[in-house]
Amino acid sequence: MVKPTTVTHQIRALRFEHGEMTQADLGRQIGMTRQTVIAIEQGRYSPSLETAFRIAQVFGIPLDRVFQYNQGATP
Amino acid sequence: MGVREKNAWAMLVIAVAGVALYLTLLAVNLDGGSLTGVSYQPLMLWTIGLGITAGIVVHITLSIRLGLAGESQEADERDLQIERFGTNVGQAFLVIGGLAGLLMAMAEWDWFWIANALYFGFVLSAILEGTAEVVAYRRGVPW
Repeated sequence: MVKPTTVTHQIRALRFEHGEMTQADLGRQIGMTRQTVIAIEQGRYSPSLETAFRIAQVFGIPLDRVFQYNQGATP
Repeated sequence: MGVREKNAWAMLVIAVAGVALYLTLLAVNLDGGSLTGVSYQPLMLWTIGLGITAGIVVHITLSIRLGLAGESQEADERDLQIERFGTNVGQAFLVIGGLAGLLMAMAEWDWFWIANALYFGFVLSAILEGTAEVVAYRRGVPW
């Protein structure tokens, strides 16, 4: 059984705020495939810490404005 | 669907088709006799050879098609994680097949059973590995 992630994110909203950036564009900038960006957005994949930092860097904001850890949720 | 996922699907289909072909050929050559009487060596070798060739052809075809479409063929961290997961899952059957072959050899079983235990260890390992990878691509890695 796949463990549901308790990490939420604003990637989709941030992409649209940044000139409707496509998933492929974001993928290219962080060195990932479009499929991996889709998996991250759908919560099927939790990126590594390094990738998370790269995503925040693309949007020019701190990491905790992209990803939030929901402490109250059951892992 | 990314190139790695397509490749995982292709390998899974080839592995299942390979074992189905081998079992069909065995059944056709059985001809009412016992399994150990079947000349399984050419059947097994041809099936393995065809499987390897099909795998290479599919991989080259996918690479050319994606290259023409300008899609990246490089594996990213998710692809590598899924690959590791698939290998870990498939490894169990390699060990079981090897161990079964070893015990059968010690007990001096017919070479037919020893060869087939090893063959099915490899095949089941490939099928399980492919299945684990396809599921991980669809639903995520379970950790």
